[in-house]
Amino acid sequence: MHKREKYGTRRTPDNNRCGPASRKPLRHLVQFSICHMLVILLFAGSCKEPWFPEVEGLENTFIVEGLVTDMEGHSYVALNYYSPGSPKPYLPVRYAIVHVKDDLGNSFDFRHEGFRDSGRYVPLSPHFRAEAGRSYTLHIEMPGEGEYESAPQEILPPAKIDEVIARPVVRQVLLDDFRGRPQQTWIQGRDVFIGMSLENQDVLRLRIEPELLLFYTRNEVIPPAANIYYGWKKIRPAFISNFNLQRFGQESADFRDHLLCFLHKEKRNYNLKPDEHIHKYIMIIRYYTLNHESYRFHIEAEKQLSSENRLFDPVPGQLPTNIICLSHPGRPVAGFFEASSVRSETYLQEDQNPDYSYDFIRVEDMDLPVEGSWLNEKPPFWID
Amino acid sequence: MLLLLAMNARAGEIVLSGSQEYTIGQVITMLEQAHSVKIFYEPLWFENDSFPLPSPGVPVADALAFLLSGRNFRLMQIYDYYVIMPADPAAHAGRRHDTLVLTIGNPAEFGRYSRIDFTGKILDGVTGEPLPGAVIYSEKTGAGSPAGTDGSFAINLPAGEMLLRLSFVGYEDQFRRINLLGPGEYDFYLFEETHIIDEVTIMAKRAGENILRTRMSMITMDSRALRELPANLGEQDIIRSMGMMPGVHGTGEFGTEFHVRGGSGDQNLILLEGVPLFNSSHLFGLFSVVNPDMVSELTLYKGGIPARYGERASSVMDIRASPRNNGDVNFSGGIGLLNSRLHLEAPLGERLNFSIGGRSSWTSWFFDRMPTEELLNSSALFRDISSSLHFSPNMKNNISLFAYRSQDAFSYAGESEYDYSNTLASARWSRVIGDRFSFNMAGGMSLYDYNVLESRETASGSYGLNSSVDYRSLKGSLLWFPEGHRAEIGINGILYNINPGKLEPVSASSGLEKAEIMPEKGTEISLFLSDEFELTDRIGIEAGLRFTGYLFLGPAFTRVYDENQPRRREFIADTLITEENRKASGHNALEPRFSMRYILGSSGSLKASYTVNHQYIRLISNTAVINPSDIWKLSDPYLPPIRSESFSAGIYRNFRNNMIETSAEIYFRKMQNLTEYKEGSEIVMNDALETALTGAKGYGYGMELYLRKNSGRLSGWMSYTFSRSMTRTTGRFPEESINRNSWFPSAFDKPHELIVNSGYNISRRWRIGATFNYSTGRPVTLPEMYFPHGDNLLVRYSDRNKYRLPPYHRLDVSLTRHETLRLTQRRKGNWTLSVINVYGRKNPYSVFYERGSGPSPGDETFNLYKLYIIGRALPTLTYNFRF
Repeated sequence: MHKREKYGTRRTPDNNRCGPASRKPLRHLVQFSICHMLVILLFAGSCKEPWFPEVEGLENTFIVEGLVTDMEGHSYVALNYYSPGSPKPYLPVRYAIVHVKDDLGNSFDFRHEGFRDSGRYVPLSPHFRAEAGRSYTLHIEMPGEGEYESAPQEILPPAKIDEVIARPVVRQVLLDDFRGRPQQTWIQGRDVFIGMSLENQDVLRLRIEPELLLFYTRNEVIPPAANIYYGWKKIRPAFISNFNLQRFGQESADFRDHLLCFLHKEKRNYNLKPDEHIHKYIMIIRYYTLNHESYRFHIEAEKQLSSENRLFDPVPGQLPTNIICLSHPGRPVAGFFEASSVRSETYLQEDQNPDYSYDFIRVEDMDLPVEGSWLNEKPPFWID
Repeated sequence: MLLLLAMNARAGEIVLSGSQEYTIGQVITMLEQAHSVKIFYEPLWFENDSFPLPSPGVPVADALAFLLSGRNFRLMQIYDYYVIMPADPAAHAGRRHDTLVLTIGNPAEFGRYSRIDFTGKILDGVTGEPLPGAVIYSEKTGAGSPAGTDGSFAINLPAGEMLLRLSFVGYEDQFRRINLLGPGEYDFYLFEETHIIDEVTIMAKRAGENILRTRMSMITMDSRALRELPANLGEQDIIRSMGMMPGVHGTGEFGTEFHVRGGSGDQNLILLEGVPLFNSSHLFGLFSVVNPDMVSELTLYKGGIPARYGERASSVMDIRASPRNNGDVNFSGGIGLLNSRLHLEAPLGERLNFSIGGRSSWTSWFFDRMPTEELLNSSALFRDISSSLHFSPNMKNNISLFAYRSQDAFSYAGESEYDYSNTLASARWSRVIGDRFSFNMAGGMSLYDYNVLESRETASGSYGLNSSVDYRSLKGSLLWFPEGHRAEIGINGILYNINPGKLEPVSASSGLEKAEIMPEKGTEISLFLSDEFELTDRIGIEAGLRFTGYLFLGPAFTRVYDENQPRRREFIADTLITEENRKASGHNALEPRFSMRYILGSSGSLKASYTVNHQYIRLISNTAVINPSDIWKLSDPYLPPIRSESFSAGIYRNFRNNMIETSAEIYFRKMQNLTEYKEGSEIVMNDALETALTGAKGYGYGMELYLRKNSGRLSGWMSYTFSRSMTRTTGRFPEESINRNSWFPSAFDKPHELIVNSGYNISRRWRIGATFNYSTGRPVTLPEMYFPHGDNLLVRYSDRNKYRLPPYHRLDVSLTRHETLRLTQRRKGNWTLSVINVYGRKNPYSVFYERGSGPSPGDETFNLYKLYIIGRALPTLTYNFRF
């Protein structure tokens, strides 16, 4: 279940605010506060009420989600039609002819991946990977319906991670109780910070997807046997998507102490059982180096996700799209074609330092399923 | 004719030579016409007096002082208003006309009757309305009779001379001595009480002024009218109340912003004693910053704006806060739901009047009792203080000083602190020169300052942000009163200094760097001249011309963009640097102003006006509601001044002896050089704000119907406004065009609005009031589609402002009890119980969505919600007092 967390105060030590909560623009904070204030001041039931206005559904809007990267297996195109009246609001498109062209004139065909309920296309060649420094254009042909094309998208060279570090923190959060009402709770944990840089570029624009890999053990004593489980679990930490926000227009080619995610101290937050003990915290950090257009799209999307169009929020802005219908230029299209370089690196949290921080060191990547365990035997990737 | 007679007067001479004498009405009318002032008085006080005619060249104050010399009256001046009052109000508490004997019946029948039937009517002296229930009473015989529904009475009295007393609630008692000789009829006229003599009362208003004055689209309110405005959370809020006037749209329960004829909130110039307010809201819009106690008069110009006003494109609201000159110490105040206020007015000698007042919230009291730590660590407070001094060293000179400061501070959970303040000061000097000139000089300053301190617990992302607007002005004007004219010429200089934003990290470990947006500096020089005159007996003209010259001064960086690309940072081709105080860009403009009135019969008129305005400073906002963090921005090479051109026409007609005023106005506005923000643009700390904006233009049209009943037990007004406000971007590139550059409703487009505000005097002490407000919902942009992208569902919004909120309607009622009405009682207080939103309508203020979980794991849902501020009937009790 998706829980929205609204972060308050009592951060120790310093951190760089980021993520959905901290990235809220100024007036979002104002708005949040004012809503409380109004409730208190008016005690007049200032409140909300569901509203069901009649809006025009954009039926048959073509929805494109495209991504080409410089890493094998990371490129795909997903095509759907919006169909609000049907049982599923999105009808997958399985009959499109999809290919990507680079600025040298090379064309790379994509194929439908074969699943009936999917409109997902993958490169025909499993070894396809785009090149940094090249520009790519997505071309989609819908037999009998029209042709769509994206604007050229340049792939920038990948940034590099300079540092990953965690510091203990106590956070005040609002969590929904069983009645769906937000309740304030103090939680202990660690903020994970990252430092990154990009050579030969003026501006570093990143989309980061951190993933927490937990190693845990469980002792199960059923006489006469004493079993030990060596388990692992992949979890998306508090911030599931992350950007290096250029606050107040301050752009740079590197950044330090960028808050990546929050790690809970209490294992119950990871759905571990009382007899399961966390053994290691491992961060898998996948990061995309974005060009200006892609960054703008993601930032706008992120604003949408973190904003709720409340009183002092900016009036909602339309998400940019870089795809047009060549055959019917007025036909509505939603979505974006992104070309970016991507890297995935794995970091292991070390023991606590004298200053109470934790360093992370890079370890070999581990290609693991989401969850699993070995009984009485350490898996080969296990780190003691 | 009177004016012609006056032509021979010599300068300095007060009385026209000649033996002819005039009634008070004739003299006052002449003075009002000659000096374009209003003089309030009670005709009955001078019923049998005759006066010589003063020369029009004599200053009006001197002329009135001469007229009143030897009589037990005194004169009070409030700007262009003069009020004649008895020096001893108690002597005029009841109008005893017992020195005049009224003869009823045929003298030839003297001695024929021992008892006589005396009939007649008791009527309202101003409106002629019957006063059912009024009583006629003979103190000598003890006989009395109430008036019927048509005001008629019949009473049987013994023949002979006697004193009759006539009385009615809310009206002054009248004593008439009659000599009853035989059966006869007589109609008596009663007048509303004027027991509160320290304020301008509606009785003193010149009847038919709405018909006779040349200007149109103008709303004036004196202190009494302001006092009778509907209360907001227990107290009058004059700025918010403007939203109840025809052609003016408010923003509902929250926000002091108002929109005039489809213009944005920043297109209204709110002048407090001549200097503008840049943020008119307390508590982010719950109250306005203007303390109602300090206001002596308010005028809102929606169209036909006089040439002496400029600066903004839509309207001018001129709020005056001069101390009342009644020779007494007045102490007033109120205890409301969220704040308390006090106001003191006192004379300091014969020629000096002083006032000081303030308000302070006690909202922190609530926070101190909140059950959660976050709210315990929160605070919200506001306060304002104002003071004015009026000095009249002699009859020819007047000097006024005014100072004002408002402050708001708000913090939440000890994490973020916001505060903003307005500081205003002004000085004015007016001098009468000779017998036909008057000179005025005024200087003022207004400083708006906004600060936010984020994360005071020293996080690395903590920062302090400051922005400010500094406004200085100097204005001089000369009024000339040649025969039948009122001419004015003047000059106005304004210096703007804007700090768009200063960002400072508040801890050494902050990841943010110190940054400052280049301050902006601009000057606006205006020359204006106007003349108001009567072309014929029926046609009145006010014609004016205003020239404005604007300079955007350095230091400034002007970015030059690639003309073939959208205006973005990456397409900056060059940057021009302008040195300090050198011209970076400029603009000159002519603003013709014209108003005309044609009298229709005795109680009607036709009016028309044409106005051009230019605005060189605007508020950049991308929120639906103005809030303190919005950015004031001067016109620069990329933001030419807003130009507004408006035409209005209207018909005005009064009924029942001016008791009922009606008007119907139509208007059309054309606006150029507006701005719309680009999708997703950032405006805070954006040093190239032009990249976040795109050009737009707009137009508006509408019709305003107004009906007002001024007096009687039932009074109030009703207005209906039909208006449209449309806008269209003019960008050349897709990202610079909103809704594909097609016309769409502006955020202030509310086609229909109906306001009914009425009050009824149940008795002398009790008054019940009700206000009903209906308006079309404002335009909003709504999600039309959700689509998957990665692991999220994203929203595709509709075209901007494609949909509307549900209609807004609300009924408020109030009941007021005056504690005492006695003239001799110094302390006067009243309790007001009001119920806001009687039927609990949940009027949506804004719309937002929340994401939730769908029926299947991983499914995400979107739900739209209406946010309403007052969702149920809200009673408030307020005590107001005055010493």
